[in-house]
Amino acid sequence: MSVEHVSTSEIATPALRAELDEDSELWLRGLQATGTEHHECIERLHALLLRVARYEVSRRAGSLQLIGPELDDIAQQACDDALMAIKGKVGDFRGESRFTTWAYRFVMFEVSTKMGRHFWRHRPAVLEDDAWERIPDRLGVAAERHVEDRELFAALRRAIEEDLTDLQRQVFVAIALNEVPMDAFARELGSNRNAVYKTMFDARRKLRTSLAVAGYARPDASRRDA
Amino acid sequence: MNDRPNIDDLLAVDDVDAGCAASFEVLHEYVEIELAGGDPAPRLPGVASHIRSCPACREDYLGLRAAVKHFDG
Repeated sequence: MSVEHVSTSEIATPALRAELDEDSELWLRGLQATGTEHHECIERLHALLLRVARYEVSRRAGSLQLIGPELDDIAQQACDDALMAIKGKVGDFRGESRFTTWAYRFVMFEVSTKMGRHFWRHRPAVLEDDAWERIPDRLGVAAERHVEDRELFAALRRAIEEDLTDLQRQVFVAIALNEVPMDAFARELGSNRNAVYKTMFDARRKLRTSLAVAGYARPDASRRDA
Repeated sequence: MNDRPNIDDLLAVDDVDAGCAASFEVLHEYVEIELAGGDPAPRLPGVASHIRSCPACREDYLGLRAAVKHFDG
């Protein structure tokens, strides 16, 4: 079963809006108002989202070789696009959290997307084709165990090469072996994070099955205690 | 200490995994339950599973948690 078939009843939207805290009520009132009250609310929200975006960009800055002005440009763009998304979706807010927590979520997503665009600037555009030859290193396997696990790695490599579809192989090699961020790779494919993750999920499942058939049964498909 | 994934991490799948889009829809609720001292996993098991397996959504979750603690904590 792939993730797209998993029941998500747990996340059904409540029919009625929960009782809101005072701050959330004020934000909603301002966003739904007209004239000066609305404009002032948008200005305050933009200023808050920009602080959040700068904070988040700074938190993730280590993953990209970017300097101050570039990072601030990402924060500005993420803030602007998050605000646009919030204005379009504010009617979906049901009060399951504070309004600001609901809103910051859009900033996180936009920062991810914007930083994904910058990923390739400091890396070769073409992925390394021999990535799976470095599987033991990628997994941090000690040199003395390379020989011990050689058959397992050979089986995994064979499964990657023979059992995955072209797209599954491309996604698995890029993300799992070359450690390309999902948003960056989704952009390269002209796809989106959700679709890439589903492909990755199906590739993982197929590889587990292939290893089991080859006599390398994995102990448990689930990983609830990570 | 070696913090790289082992082969089971690399191939981990979980049938309750909610996926990226569905998890995003309730990430704010997940984070607030957690920051209030609760365990969001029993209420939102699909999200708990997903953010263990999806590096992009895990980063969004960590960022959202950090932002709420910093700006609203």
